[in-house]
Amino acid sequence: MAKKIGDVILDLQNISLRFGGVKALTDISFDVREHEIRAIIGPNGAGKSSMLNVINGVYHPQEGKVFWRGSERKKMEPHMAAQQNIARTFQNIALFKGMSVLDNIMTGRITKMKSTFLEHALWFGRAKNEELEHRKKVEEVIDFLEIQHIRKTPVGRLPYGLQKRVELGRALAAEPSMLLLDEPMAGMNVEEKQDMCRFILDVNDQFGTTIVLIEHDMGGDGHLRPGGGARLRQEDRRRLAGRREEQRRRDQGLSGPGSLRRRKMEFFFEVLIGGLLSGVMYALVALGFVLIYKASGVFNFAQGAMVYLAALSVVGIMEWGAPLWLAVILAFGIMTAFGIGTEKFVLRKLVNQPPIALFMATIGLTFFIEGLAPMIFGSDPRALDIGIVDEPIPYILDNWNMVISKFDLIAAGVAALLVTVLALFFQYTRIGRALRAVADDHQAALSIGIPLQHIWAIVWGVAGFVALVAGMMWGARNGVQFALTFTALKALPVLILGGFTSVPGAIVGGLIIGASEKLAEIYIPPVMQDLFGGNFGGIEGWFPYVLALLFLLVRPEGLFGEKHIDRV
Amino acid sequence: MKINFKPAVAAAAVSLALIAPQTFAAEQFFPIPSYRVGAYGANGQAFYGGFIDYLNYVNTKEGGVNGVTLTWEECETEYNNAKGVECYERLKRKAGESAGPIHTMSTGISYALIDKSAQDKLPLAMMGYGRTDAVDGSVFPYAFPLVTTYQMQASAIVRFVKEKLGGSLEGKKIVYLYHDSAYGKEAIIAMEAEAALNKFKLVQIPVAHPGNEQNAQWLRIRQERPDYVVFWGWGVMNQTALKAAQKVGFPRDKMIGSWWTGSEEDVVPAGDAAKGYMAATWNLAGKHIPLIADMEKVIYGAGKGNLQDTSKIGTVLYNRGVSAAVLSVEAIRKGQEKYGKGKPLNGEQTRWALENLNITDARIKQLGATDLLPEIKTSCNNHEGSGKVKIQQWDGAKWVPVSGWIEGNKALIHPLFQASAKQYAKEKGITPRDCSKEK
Amino acid sequence: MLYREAGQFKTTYAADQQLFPIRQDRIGVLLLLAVAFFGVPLFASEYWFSAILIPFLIFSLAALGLNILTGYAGQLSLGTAAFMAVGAYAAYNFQLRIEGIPILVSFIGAGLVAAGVGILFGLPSLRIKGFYLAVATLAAQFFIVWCLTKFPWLSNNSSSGVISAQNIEILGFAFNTPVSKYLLVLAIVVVMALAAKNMVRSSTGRAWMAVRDMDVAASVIGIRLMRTKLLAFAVSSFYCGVAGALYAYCYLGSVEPDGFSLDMSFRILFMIIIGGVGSILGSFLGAAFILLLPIFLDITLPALAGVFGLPFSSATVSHIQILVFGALIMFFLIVEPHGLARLWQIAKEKLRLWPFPH
Repeated sequence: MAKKIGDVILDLQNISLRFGGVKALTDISFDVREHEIRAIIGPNGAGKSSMLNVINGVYHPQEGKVFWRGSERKKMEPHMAAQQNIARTFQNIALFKGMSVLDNIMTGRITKMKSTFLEHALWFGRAKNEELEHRKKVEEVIDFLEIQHIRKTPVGRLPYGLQKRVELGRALAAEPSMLLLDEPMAGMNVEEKQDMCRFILDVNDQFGTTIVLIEHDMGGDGHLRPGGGARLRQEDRRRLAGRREEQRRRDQGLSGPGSLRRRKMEFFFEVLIGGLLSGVMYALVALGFVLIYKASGVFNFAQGAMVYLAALSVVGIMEWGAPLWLAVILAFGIMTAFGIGTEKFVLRKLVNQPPIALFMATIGLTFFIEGLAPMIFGSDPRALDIGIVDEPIPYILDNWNMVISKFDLIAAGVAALLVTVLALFFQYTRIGRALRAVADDHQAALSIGIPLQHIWAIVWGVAGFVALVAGMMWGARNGVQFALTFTALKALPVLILGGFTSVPGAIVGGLIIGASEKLAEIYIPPVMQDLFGGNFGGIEGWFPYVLALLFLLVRPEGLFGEKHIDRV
Repeated sequence: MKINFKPAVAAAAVSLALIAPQTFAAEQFFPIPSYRVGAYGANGQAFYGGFIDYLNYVNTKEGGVNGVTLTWEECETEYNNAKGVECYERLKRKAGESAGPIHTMSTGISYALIDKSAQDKLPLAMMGYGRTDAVDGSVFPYAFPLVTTYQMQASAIVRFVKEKLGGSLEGKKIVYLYHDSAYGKEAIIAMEAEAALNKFKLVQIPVAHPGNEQNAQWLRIRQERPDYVVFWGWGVMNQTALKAAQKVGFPRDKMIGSWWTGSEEDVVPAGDAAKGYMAATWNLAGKHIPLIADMEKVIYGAGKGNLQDTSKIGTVLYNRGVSAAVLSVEAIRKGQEKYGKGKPLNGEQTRWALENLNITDARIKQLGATDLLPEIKTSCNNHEGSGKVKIQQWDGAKWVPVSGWIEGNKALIHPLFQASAKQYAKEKGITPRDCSKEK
Repeated sequence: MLYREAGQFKTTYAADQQLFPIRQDRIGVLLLLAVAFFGVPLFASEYWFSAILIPFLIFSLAALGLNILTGYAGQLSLGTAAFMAVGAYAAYNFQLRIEGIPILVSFIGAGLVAAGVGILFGLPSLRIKGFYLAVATLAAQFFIVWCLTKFPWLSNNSSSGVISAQNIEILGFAFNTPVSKYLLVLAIVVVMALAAKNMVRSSTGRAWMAVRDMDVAASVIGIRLMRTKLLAFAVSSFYCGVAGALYAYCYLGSVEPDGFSLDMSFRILFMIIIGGVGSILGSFLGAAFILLLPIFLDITLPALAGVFGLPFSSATVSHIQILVFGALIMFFLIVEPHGLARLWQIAKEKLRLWPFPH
């Protein structure tokens, strides 16, 4: 009890923080003195955690100043706060779930370790001694928090109260001069709260650590009052803020190059239009991905194989003597059955597994289809004649000397029709509404009685239908054969560009990818040839990916994806 | 059309085989790393179907080669290099005693096997694919790019185009449209050499794997207005090219493809778009070839055929498989002449046989294999042996030959092989054999 | 009974933090190494060396590399094969262009070049996460393979882009037989696996796992996200690069850029998923499983068809193989989504308690 409240070490002046149009903090000021326990109290959504995130450097306020030990802090990164000896716990436990308690607490000392990864790899030099030295410190923390018995247990297996304690341990391991605790007692039972209070007070007592504490549970604070003499103050100037921070922004379209000679201009447009039309074909495949990802969060790599299966079913059934319309209907039946079967026998059993396991399962499914489809229908490449000859439209060729394919135009029409039908289906049918609800929030949809698995089965059926349409168009265009599975590779960049969850994104992404890849194939290799010599064509394999990648660097959530802000 | 290709010896052998089939008959083993699934599975099915059917045919008809029964084992490579190596290693164990030439029908796999097969003393046949500078047998004793190579083929195609354009290529323009891989790039040096020699303008346009998108390339071709397009595709790239040519209105009869672009599997899926398209080949399609007709009767008549889908009999790739098998069996025959009739050949002996092949037109006719392969005479210096192709044209229903045998410009092309082989020998530290001492 | 820790008291932190804290594990690993180095060369056939053991070790190494990135640092990558390709071509060029450079130095150089390329393609990971990143790594897959095809200098102007690995010689000893190549690969893999084990148990590994499990929290406790992620990309690519060099030099001999296909990347990803994400042991188990399964199917299926007298053509058998392969992958994911390593762990825990399970 010999500690004495010291000078102001942290001073926040007129802090304002906005996410897009949403105001989280407006003109907040307060200070923290050395060795004190300072509490921030407020209702849910008042911006308490945002405040800690500002102190921590996770968020950067648009206005206001932060003084740390007398000097103003410029824009900072989160790890810098740690270097200034500010440690932190989180409202929703932010432990590293895959690691043991010991390892979690050891990470708290990471800023104090000097050895490099090479020393670690070779177990050489400082590596070993440093490990032992820090282990000793960590053991002190473990003793202090009385968690010796769970040292080697993975934290994911611990009960809630203990996880909170481990998180405190991780923060303490850094031997912080200031400790930020975000609702350290939330969700605890009475005994656990009492324990936690004891630890917080002991930390303040024994190590003289300054503590900033967020709590809306006044009872917990009440326990704290007698020991530490904490000053409580309701922050009055805080404005209600909150809700999920979202922002949407439309991107600008393409811009064309300046004026060129007439024929060059024609050629440019010819390539551009051809590219846009190819893009429609990519979008057709991408649509299936989007539907499934949106509804069930499964990244279905097998969509390409499903396109193959669908097209092969059509030609296979036609070979057995059925007319085209019958073959299409039967193929639709096969695709629906297949989609539902996949959902039922594979994906349903993988619910709650990490997304990567689901992704892998769909690659397994790809192999399965690649073996099954040709086994039933034969593996010879075949023609699929749907009655459209893929020739230039004479009128345009004669008048503008441009080649625009009749087939591609029809394919674009089919795609437009498909998207319209899907949109109507989602908008106006009962199943469509349920689908949208599921896409928005699985738990919520489940709670209002939407049968999740039933919906997933339908989505897989719809994705099968989309695959059938894509398979027919691609099959008629290039022949029905194994290579139809590669259409998936054309769809992936479309997806990252358009966002995994957006139907319009798939269409717009497809158009952008199609057009830019064709233009690039025509105009980039000559430039590279001038620079390096040699032939640099054939860039279509990677160009869309690099384009999508560069785009992502600017907008990590894709064209129409939702911006996700990490909340801690 | 019964021709006298079953001499009395064979008849005797058949009866011998029938009388005592299980008394330790000598066996000649063929390791067959084949593929029937995946992107190129359809091609593999036809080729290996023909290959195995012919081995079967020789056994059934003649009781093997001089009484030596032909046996084989297949292993699925999926056209994948690593799996190909695994298959090779697996089959190799059985190939210690006797081994026929190994056909992988994959450039990638044959590249991976070149060193290994030389070390294991097993002959690697690469008919129309694989490492082409292995024509120089002094550096590559165990690798045989038999019949003809990409470069010689390209040269022959240029020669054909030259004739079509009235004997001179000066000032003309040829687009070389190719699969952007080892396979597609092989012929570039030959095309460049020909362009320099014949003074035509060469425009090279690569297509990224797998080649299911060629809009940009064909719009460019339309822009370039070439006299001919020489086309080196594989798999889906072939149909897409034909369709895309139609899409931009480029005449198909101004397109000439390599022999991996000219099978039924390549043109049928393109439908009408393929009509008029030409491709090189060293074996013609059709059942009019006496050997093919007789094989169908003997093998499929007895229900011993390898193909599930008998419509493939007589297709380009089926016949190519038969062509490869004929050549292999002829090599075994040749080897037995030297190492003892009625005895199986080991890898080393088969290698010698492949290096000393001399299959004349008379012999081809005797086998009933007219138009299945050109005359072939190999030597230590020349593992290719022929370098001739025919040009065939798709009339919408079948392939029709439109030229006689055309030989590539050997004087121009073969030195390229030697230079490349020399570089390889230097990198690998191989001392080339002295071919003048080989016999 | 045999596997019991009772009585092994740790009296120092050093004893508690060693590589294999349980005595039986230490003995087991030593035994395994002894068998691998001395036993196997005595008994295995050439087929086993060339077709199974060497590729197994090489793919284990690549899987280990990917596991560091995906399993420990949580960054999903679909471009593993491309980094292997970088390693293969880099080693080839070091050997070709630097007179008398020892082969092992070339291998390390190959790893370093791959690490550099890995850092380059790891940069997007600072902004992109999850499947977006996974698809973005496909850019690396396709772009690198394209570059190797397009710049003839990289393949010493070979007309086809194919390179042939030079002979391997260390201190005058030529590694030209399958056994010697096996031993060389084994030694490299063992050293690198130990190094990986050391990294993941030290603060490097903890930083990776912290980033994987919750990157915001990791940055708040002082971990620099950029450095940690890029280090993971670099180390992972280093492993893949060395694996690629070994793939070219000790396995295939000749490689072409197209050989390092997306399919290969997927197979390596399968290895770590089936083996166990975030487990060194899992990389090995997964590699063994994915490599051996097709071979096993290839051998047994035709035999089975023969036994039951099913009229399967060769094509059908091949198709069934692919089908069964896919089905087994799905089956495995359903039965044990945490991979073979978890099964092993469960078995060990059972053994500890045996004969008193609860």
